[in-house]
Amino acid sequence: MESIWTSVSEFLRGPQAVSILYAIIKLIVGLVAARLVSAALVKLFAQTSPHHAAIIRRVSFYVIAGLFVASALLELGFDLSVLLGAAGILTVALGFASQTSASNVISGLFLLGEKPFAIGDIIRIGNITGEVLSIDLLSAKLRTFDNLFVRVPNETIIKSEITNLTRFPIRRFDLQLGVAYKEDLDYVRELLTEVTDRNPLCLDEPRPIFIFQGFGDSALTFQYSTWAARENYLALKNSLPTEIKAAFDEHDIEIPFPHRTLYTGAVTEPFPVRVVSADASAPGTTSDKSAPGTTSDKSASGTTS
Amino acid sequence: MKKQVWWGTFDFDDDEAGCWHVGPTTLWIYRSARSWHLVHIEAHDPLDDSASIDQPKPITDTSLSLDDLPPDANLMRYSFQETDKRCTLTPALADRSVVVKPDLPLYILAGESVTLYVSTPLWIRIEVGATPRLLQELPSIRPSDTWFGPSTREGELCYGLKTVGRLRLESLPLRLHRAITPIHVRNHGSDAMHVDRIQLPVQYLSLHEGENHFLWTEAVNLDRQAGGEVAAVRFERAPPAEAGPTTLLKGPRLQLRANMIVRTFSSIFNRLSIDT
Repeated sequence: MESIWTSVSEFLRGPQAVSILYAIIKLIVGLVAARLVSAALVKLFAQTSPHHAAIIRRVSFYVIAGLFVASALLELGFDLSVLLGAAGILTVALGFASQTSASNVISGLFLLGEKPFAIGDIIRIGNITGEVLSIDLLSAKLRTFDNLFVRVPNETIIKSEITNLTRFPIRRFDLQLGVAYKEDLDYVRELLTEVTDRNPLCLDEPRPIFIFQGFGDSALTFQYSTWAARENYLALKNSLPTEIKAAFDEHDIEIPFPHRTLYTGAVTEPFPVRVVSADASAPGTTSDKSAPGTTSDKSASGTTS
Repeated sequence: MKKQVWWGTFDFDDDEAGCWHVGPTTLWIYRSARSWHLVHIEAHDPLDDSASIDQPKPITDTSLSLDDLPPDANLMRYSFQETDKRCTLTPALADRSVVVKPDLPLYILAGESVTLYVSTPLWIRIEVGATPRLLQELPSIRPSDTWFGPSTREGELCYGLKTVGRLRLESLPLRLHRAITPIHVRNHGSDAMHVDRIQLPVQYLSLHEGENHFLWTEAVNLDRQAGGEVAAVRFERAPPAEAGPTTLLKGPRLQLRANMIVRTFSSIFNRLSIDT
């Protein structure tokens, strides 16, 4: 018992004890100072945002506490060069972690130089179309037409195709149309030319183009392309089809619904047709008791009796 | 129908109105104590070339009621603390360049020149007050938009005229809603020049009233340089001799600066028809 007490008291009087004491004092002072300083910094800079407050408090606490801990360790005689090795490994880890951010920053710099679009332009990336609000370090911000905010990383912009809808001053509107087989295509072309001449938004030059596309299943299909100033594109897109429809109606030009022809063939009997009398019990039923969609004749092919 | 000169200064008492027919456009102007009302109706017949005034009339005596306007009428109202009785109507040239085609395809051989007479539609400027303040500028006819330039990427939005440039002045009828511009085209090149379409920058021209109330602008000179497609444009300083004695109605919209060169391009769209 007494020998333990003697060795303890001897130790306490030695130089090691003093340095341990200093280290403990530094730790305590460091922790207290860190807490005070971080609270003060939060009060100064981040009163309003709890998000920023949390970050500032943590960062400042750990930095200051870390400094005092390092100082205490130095006092106790530890060699701090070990920490430098750890710092090196930490840097490599940080480098790997920030790969995408660095790529975004560099992509942003290239984009600034290349200028595929500017603020205010309307662009389409993938299936997002919107107005460019800002081109920042890491990303570009878009506002879609239904007023949603989209953040597109610069890396995506560099890697993918972007369509800039507002780069050129005029834009072509392609209208796909079909007219019935009985119509005269030359007459239809003349009519379409009259309609576009009357519409002031449709540019006289470049002239509207008529492109025949094919003998479709139900109609003769063609494309009619007209040009308009970029600002008037939507107005043209809405007014021209209405005017074309009105002109077609006025001149009895048919835009047909999809057609299906039922053909019984040369070697079979034609389909029989039976007219149901006007005073039948309910619509859609026949006066016979047979099931709807059938006939009582056995001769028709393709039906059941 | 006899044509009346529709521009000038008119006095309206309180609650009086007036009706103007300027080409295809009908314009009603109403004055009340604190506001002016304008009703603009564009007719559906672009070839209508009437010109008449029916003013002043009491506001209750008009065939058009402000409460019951036809669907294609455009009503504009201007509020004032107190309205002045004076209203001034002035014709003005188009606010964009105008693209013109000659009536027949035209080739000008080397060293030759030709004069085309072109009529461009006019705008109606409505100003009120003793010191005129602009209420509105309305087109007498809304011309079709068109593009003029070397490609679809560069160029200028202009108005395309449905009427053609004529080689003979006598074939131009008197129309009080259009102004006549003589265009002198000269070919200084070594080969024939095909005049397909011409861009006329009317914003730099001023408007003059000549003999018999014909409206004229200064003549424009287009010179095709040796070996080049691009023609340099020069404007004369005075109205043309064909106009007779003239009075200036309206100065140019834009001033031509001393070192500014206005160029006009010839036809460019042949290669664009191949895209699908």
